[in-house]
Amino acid sequence: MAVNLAYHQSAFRLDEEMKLVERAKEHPRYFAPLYERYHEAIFRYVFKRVDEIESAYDITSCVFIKAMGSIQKYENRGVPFSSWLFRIAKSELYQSFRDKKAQRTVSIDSVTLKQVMDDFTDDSSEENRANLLVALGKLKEAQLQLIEMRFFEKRSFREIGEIVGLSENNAKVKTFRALLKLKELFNKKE
Amino acid sequence: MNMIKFLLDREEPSSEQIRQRMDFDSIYGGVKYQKWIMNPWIYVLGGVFTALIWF
Repeated sequence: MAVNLAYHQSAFRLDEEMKLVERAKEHPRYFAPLYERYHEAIFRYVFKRVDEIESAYDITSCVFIKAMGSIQKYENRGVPFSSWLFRIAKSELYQSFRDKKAQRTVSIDSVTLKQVMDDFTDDSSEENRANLLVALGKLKEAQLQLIEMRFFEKRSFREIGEIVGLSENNAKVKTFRALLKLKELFNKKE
Repeated sequence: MNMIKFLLDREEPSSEQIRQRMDFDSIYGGVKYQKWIMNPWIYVLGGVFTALIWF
């Protein structure tokens, strides 16, 4: 499966990014280059998980306000800075769901949905499509997140691992298990 | 958690629309306001001024 390569960076780019992070630690004003680099990716990550665009803008703003306020605590672990931002975004999203300020949403395009369905059945009827959505809704949140990131957003296992706090291998194993569970739920329904 | 909503083939805003809506200055303004509101000295000084007005 083709994955989105924008996340993966060369050692040179990671070094350059760390310099930007160190500069941003001096004053929040210097966060601007990091903001320009990542605000769209974070917005799109949030947007796909909430039903209203205004909620997505609000949550994304909160992510960056929080990131700028706590950048002093950021430690370089040799992974892209964006994984730290994605983790803040994840936590802000779930806080919004708990506070009922946003509705948990899964945004999928029909082509991707059909690709996932092709793994389970040859019959891509409307009924099976509905069954697959029901099965997705029955997954545990952690499993749904893995399926969402791997199959709907085409993220690599390394990136998924860095966002959810797992090793690359662990992310691979857990995603595979989530897919098996989805298949089981889909077949039960069928 | 709430029920999950599935949205198929949803239209996403363009990069330009996102950029226009989410400019860095408004976020930076939010950070400055948060820092200001979290500063305990404004409450101490506020208390002192209030006391001065009253007495």
